[in-house]
Amino acid sequence: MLEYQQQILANLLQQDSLLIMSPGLGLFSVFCHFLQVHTNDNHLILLLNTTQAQNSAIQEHLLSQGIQIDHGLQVIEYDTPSDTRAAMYRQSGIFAVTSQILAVDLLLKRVPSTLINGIIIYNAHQIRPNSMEDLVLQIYRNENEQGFIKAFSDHPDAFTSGFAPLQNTLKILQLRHVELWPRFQVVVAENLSKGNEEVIELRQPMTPAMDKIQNALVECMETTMSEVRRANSRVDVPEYTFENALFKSFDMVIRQQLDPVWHQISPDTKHLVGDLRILRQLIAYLTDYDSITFNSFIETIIYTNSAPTGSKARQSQWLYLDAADRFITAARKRVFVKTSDPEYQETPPNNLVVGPNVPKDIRLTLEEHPKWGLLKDILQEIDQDATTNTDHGAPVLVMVNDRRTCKQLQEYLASSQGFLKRLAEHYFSWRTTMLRMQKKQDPPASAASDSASHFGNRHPPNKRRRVRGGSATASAMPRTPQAYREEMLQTLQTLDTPDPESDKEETELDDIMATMEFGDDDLLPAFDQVPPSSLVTIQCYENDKDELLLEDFQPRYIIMYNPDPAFIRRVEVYRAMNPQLPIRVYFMIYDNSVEEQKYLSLVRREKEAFERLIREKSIMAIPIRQKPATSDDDLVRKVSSRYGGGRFQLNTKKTVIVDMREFRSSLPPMLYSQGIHIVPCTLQVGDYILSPEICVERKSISDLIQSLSSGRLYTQCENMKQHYRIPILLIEFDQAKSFSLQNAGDIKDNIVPTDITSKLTMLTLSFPTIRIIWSSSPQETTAIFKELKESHEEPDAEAAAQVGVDNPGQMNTMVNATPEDILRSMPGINSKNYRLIMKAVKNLEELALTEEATLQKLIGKVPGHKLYRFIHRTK
Amino acid sequence: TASVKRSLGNTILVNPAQQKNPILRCIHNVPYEFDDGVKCDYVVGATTGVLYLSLRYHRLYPNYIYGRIAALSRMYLLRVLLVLVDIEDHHTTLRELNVAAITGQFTLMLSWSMEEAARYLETYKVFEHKPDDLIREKPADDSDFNASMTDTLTNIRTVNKTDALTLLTTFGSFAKMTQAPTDQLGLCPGFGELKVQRFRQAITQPFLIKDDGLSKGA
Repeated sequence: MLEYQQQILANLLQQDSLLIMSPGLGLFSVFCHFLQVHTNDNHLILLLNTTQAQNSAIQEHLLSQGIQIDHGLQVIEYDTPSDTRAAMYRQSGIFAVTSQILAVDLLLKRVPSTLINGIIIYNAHQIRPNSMEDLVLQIYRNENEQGFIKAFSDHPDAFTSGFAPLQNTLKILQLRHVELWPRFQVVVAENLSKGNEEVIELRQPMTPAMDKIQNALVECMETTMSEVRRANSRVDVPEYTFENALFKSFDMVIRQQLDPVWHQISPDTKHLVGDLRILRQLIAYLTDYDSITFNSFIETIIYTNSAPTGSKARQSQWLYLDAADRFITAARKRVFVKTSDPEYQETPPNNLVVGPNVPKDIRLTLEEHPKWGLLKDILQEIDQDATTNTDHGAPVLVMVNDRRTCKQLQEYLASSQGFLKRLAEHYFSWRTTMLRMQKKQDPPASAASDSASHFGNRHPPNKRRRVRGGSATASAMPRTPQAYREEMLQTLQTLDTPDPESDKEETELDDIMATMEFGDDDLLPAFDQVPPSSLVTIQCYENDKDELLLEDFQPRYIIMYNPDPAFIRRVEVYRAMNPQLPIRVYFMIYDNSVEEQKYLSLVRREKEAFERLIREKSIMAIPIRQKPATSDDDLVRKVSSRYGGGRFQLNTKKTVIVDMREFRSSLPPMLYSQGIHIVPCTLQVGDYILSPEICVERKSISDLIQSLSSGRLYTQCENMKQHYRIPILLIEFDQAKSFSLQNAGDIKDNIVPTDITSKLTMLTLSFPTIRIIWSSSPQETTAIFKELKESHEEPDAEAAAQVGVDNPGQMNTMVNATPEDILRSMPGINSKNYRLIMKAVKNLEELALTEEATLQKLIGKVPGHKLYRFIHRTK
Repeated sequence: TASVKRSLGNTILVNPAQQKNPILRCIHNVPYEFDDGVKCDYVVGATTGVLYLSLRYHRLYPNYIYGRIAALSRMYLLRVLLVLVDIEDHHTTLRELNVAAITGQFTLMLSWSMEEAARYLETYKVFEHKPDDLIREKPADDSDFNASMTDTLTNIRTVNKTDALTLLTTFGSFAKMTQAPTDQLGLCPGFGELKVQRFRQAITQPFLIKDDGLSKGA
């Protein structure tokens, strides 16, 4: 460990604190060393908020340090039975556990809270008020004042939004001290300046086509942005700037800005925000994806937007812009040109052996990424350099963004031209499938629909501004998605011999599917395809694992194919730890690209974040731990009014029974912090049981909208009505969100049956005994629950768990929501028979392997057939 | 009684005491008439009676509504307390009304504008005999295969329409998607590692987790 890392570790061991470091300075290694200190004795230490990947990296690291598995990190999975968990805690050790499980276990006293030696929170920047971590730490501190709390983060920029973010995070973490370690800290700077590395920065220009696509995409974003602002003048939508658009989550920022009124804004705006996300994706994919995959993604977007004529599906408005036309054409020309393109003559005929799926009248262009060639050159240079300097070569490490790029480069380096050719072959067969699918669905070719309205009607579609490059296609009108599709259908026709027999078409389709599968195999290189003699390793950035990576590989040459500020620091640390090694770093970046801008703004944002944090640290009020709300006053009232003199209840605390699934919402932590005793339980009916008579189903606004239209709420109300005398629907708004169902200005002149207010009216008509609680925030809900409980008896958990249980197997069974939702949306499935499937079949994977006869036996002949057909149908 | 019979028509019956209520001006989709026999404020169906309360009024006469609630406790099948939220600082008041409505067996409905309040009255009347199919669970529509496949797949967080189409065109059927290995999913355009992970999780996660210890601590 470097000097500054040792100092951090020493500070951490000495006092409870939140540690925030610059990314790449070795947070993970400090963290692992901290754990290591606690592996020897019989400690009970709980680790929260780690990812699966992080857990396995920690285990790997501890193992490499010679620590036995049962002394190292043990992971409690979501399906570890509760009895096993209880036994594990009692044996002590270090456990990684999700906060949700730990909160339940603490409440049900499965963890001996007084015996906990410490709780560690990783990724501390993710902690929010009234989260499960918040609840865990509250219970922990109430029952155990001795154990330690340590928190770790290397995302300083996450602590800069909102009011007093640092102070508030410390309060939730029950901490009073923060350690800030930026890269510019004196000791860090000194430690890292010692190495001697060679850094070669390579600025690679993009191809003209890529430039064109990037500019057009930015233009589409600009227009979409201004459309969002125009439609939502009440909302403070951030100014569109190029810089804004680059940083990763720009559409998320807008989404956040709109969040307070999200349930009120028009579907059009929601669609626009979705468009922004797609456009941002496209900008990133431009440099990440190969030209063929990039183009096929664009085509898929066009297909999704070109629903058959007559359907009311919403279309993305940016597709109607000139700029969209420009980048769609440019992206296609990076793959192939057609006879009508001016470039056709200059393009050499396909000298490659092309497969049957490639139309005859096009010429393949198959543009390569300029970085690929550059990488090849560098590797050659290294090869020469290495042979002159050492006798047996030296390890070369190529770092990329993700697995996709990793595969891409492996493939390219193994067989440069063959790689794109294979991709092209695969692409054309995929395209054939896709077009056939569309053709089947479509009525005979009809004129492109002009029903779609154009952007604010401010750019009449036929008034084109001048198009740069003046290509031949530019003289046409901007095309509708339907027009794009027709064009593609024409391409398809050139290789289709019309066949009246549809049977034939089916077999052809099967053939294509067969070749496709074959092609897929081709696309997946096994790792041993990389020549074993080569010492080149391609790896993707994986944050915490990267620290171990450099030490494991001991590379002499590092090529950063994609820029990553954190990894630059990791290299600095690696160099400082190994001063004897001569290390050469190549740093590749696309000149004037979004990639470059993103990199620069990341670096700047981090520096600004630390400056803010240092300032806030110097002026903030140090949080003092708050004692939990006592139940003294409850006690007095209970004795005096309800149990007139005679009975004195020992259990004086107010109790609310909470369904396990609710341990994802912020209400349980809120109830706990207000002194209410919460009992987790698996409930079949309702979310919260306040008394033997009162059952509450909680719905956030988005849940309310969703469950009213899916019909789930109807069924839930039916169940509540059947089993409880006072069934209640709790409509809970978010504190940050606007407290009203619809905006006054959006109320239409007529009654619209699909409006949320109409549906809610219908619900109350169907269930006259269902009561409604309207709550503006979880805080309000807590206060209302408290008041309601004044005049009612305490609920009984055992009884609540029995309610609505049809068969004994249902007791103590948790349901995974997503697979259940997927199943319930399938044809043949209804609210009566889905449970039969879930009981008999393990998961969706198994469902896909289940025979038709078996399904029919389970849910009946017709539904079983429908379900089977849906799962196995090929289009 | 007379009022009940008359309300069977398509008319909202209004208590004459409501004559000056400005929300009457916003009722235009359904006719209304005043009726002396009305005990609540608005009769919007043979079995549905509405009490109207503006929070501003409630602040001036905090006891008024309790008397009205108590007087109606045995009338109508569905008793609605329709509240207009027309003050800024409504927390304490709403807390109190939420509890009062439950105790008094009223269904509380909140509105934030005259138009919205009037719309609820209209809707109750118009929906009086409407079947509740609109809010009931209905079996998936299997007439449009692409649409139902999209509905099914978009249940997974971050999977959108485009992704659903990509999956279907790349793998051919739902069954084949579930068998596709992680690497192959990762090659689909638009599929980052997180999306692949979410998809695989949805497919492989068990529907049910059985845990006999679940209720033991309770």
